[in-house]
Amino acid sequence: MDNRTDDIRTLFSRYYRPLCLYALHYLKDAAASEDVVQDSFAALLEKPADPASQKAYLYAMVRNRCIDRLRSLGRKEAPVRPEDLEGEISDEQAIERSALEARLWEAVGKLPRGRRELLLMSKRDGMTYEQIAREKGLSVHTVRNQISRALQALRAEADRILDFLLFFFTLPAV
Amino acid sequence: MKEIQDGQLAFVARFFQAGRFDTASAWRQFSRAHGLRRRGRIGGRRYPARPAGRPVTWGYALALTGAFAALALGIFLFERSAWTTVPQAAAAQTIILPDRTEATLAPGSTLRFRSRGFGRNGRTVRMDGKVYFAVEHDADLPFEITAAQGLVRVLGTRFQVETTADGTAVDVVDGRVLFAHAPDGRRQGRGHRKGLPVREQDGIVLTRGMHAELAAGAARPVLCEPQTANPAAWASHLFRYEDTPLSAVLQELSAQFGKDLSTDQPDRRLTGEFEGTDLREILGLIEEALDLTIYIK
Repeated sequence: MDNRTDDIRTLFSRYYRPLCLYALHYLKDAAASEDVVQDSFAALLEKPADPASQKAYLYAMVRNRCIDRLRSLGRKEAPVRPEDLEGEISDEQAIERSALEARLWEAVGKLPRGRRELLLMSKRDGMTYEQIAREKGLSVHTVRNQISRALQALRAEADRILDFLLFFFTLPAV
Repeated sequence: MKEIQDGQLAFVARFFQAGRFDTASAWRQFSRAHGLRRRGRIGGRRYPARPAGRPVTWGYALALTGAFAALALGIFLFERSAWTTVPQAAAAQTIILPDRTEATLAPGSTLRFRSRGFGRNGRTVRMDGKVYFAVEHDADLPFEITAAQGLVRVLGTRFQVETTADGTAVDVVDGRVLFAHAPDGRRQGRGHRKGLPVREQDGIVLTRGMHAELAAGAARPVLCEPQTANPAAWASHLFRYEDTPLSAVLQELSAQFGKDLSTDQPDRRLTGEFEGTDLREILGLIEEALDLTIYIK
């Protein structure tokens, strides 16, 4: 039981957030995405998978549960595809993106609150620096400055994972 | 490929909610729901509530005393081994606790934390001197600090605690902090016992920008004006001013950066937030905002 707990814990710490982002591409609802991912881990606990295919198995379970949930909400028309803000993307793309998006999510969460709010006003609400400055009573210079620091932090985080991926994929070729 | 894909950032920003997709708290929820925790506290409450107003009877108290006497040596030995001490340093140092909380210690300050299960069973630290905390948010597990006679409890926020010969002072940068007198039993190192919850009405709740002091020997902390606008700026690098006279702003920045700053218009008032370790950048922003010149010596 203890080994089993450790295995699940390792999978959890590695894939929990990426799976949430993956589910978010289907459900567009953060709370529902967390439910689906928790359910999928519970299913894995009940019925262990071959260690070599655990990741694929988790993604497949999350995908199926997302589709079930959307169908039960009345989205009858098949097939159900994941989406980003621009429109539909392929399931492979959603899986591929989820790792980087998970890091970005974490990095956004780590930003100082004020800076994060300015970043979200810009990237989420699409406000211009002038509009943000007016609403927050700050100078445009401060807003630009804060947002560029926030982006720097996110970029550093993104670079870290990209470097890691590059390393990972070039290794066998060497 | 090095640039963040705009679409991916836009997607994350669109749905971002603070505290969501948090692996640590999700794991706690998951392991509790499925009984994976190895010992103790399965689905248990961390702060068992005592029925309000029920007097503790003498018999109960005597039994407790007996039990404690019998366990005293064991507890003493256990406690000694259960605390990790951060070594004192001559310069300010930032350490990351196992729950990813950042603690910045002023020179000569000490910090001890529970090494066993820190971040899982509790988040309890003890300190002396001046320490700035950026506490990782965890709604299930309050972060507790004992500093001299003061007890500070938070969920996740940024603030500073300082002990002096006169008592304990707390300055909040962000968030919500409970500041109270520590229960007497805690003073001797039993900070982790779970039976003595400190309630909000036992102390005061501090929010952004507030400063409170617990004088040595006093029963409750009191709210007061901080000496400078941003007492934690040495560690937070965050300077917030609200209608503050420019003379006071320059005084604080001078002390912080070890420079001598002056202006022709010290009576002007400044409102704004500046973050960073680059004095010239901060001064540039102030000069631009107020349209005046600041001289550096």
